[in-house]
Amino acid sequence: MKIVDTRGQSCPAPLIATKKAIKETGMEEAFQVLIGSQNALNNISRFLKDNKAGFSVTESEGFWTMTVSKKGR
Amino acid sequence: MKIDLLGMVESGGCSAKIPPRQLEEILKHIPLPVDPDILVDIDTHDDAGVYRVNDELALVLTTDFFPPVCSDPYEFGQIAAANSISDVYAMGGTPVIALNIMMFPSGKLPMEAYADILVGGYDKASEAGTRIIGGHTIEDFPPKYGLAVVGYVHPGKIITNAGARPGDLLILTKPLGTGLILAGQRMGMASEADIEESKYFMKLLNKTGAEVMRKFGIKGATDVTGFGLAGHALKMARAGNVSLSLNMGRVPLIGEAYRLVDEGCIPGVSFTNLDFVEDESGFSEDLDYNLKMIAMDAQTSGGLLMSVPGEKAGVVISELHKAGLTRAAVIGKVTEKREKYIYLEN
Repeated sequence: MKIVDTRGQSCPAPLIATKKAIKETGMEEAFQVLIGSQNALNNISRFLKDNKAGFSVTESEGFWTMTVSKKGR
Repeated sequence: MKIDLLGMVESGGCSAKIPPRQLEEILKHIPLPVDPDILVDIDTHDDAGVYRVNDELALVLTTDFFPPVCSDPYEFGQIAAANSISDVYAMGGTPVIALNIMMFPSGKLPMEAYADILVGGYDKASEAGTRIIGGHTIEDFPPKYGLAVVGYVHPGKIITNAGARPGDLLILTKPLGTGLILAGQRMGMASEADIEESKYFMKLLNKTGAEVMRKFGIKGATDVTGFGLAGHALKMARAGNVSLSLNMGRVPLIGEAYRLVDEGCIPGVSFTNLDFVEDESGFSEDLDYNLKMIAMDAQTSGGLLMSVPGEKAGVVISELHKAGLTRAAVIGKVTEKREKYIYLEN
């Protein structure tokens, strides 16, 4: 699975990277985004909800792993 | 040494303003002073306070300051001053005197940057016919600059957020996109041309727009700044107890602002602004998401959003164009209060 690491990037770079991955995969396959800040997590989550993309989030070791797919598995 | 102010701003534009929802919650608990001579206060979320001195004269008071929005200190001074003075214009007033407000890290920046910021502010204030007669500086990092401005207005000719009436058309005098182009600049995505155009509009005084408003007796207006077009439209709608419909497809944009948003260049504050407006907003089913987020883009020294009686809109637009505000456009209309305060469509 494609992994986009946005940790350490300042806003809005994590969202830009996520959107790029959406375009590249065409949402045909799931991908993961590693997110290092609460703000970036909030903004990307909001963006995906607004654009009706599915996602799930797990938190570990001080960062978040977001799995993005059509159905959000 | 080439000074790069933008390089000093660590947190980006995202955190420069307190989220509006939190601000409203706090202000609710602070009692408003009661005085018949206070003609405009925070109650209508207006751009400036207005205090009546006598039947012919009222004072318009406003202040604003922020961290750098460009690299060059002189340009930063110009932009910060234009932005501070704009609130007086938005109330229909004439700016008269001002004080500098400066926060500056003297250990981290050469003092010539300090001087350049002040000269930029002085030059822009002079262009507005405003005299800077003092100020105050404290040590702080990153630098921040702005003005506290006093203007004159006739008590019967104040232009407020509350002046929009059903049947009015909405005119915006400057294109949108300064917030997201600044973010795009940080990301290395914005073109030189877009950055220059953005700075041009941030430096542009709202003086001309204000003169046209006065000439045509416009009653309702605001300037579009940190809460974005949607946020300021919401404040107008609430204050006038009307609804505002915005045709986002007609909104003028700076350069390639649309492409930047389409690539995901959406500053965090746009989501804060969306959070602020969405409960009281109707978004059409087919609304282009990029245009929706452009409506949330925080503007620095943005244009005037005027509510103009329908029959005057054509002539007001041509006056604005003639006066050099060639991007001014009709972007929506005012209706009786509907279910929501603002409606966004393509």
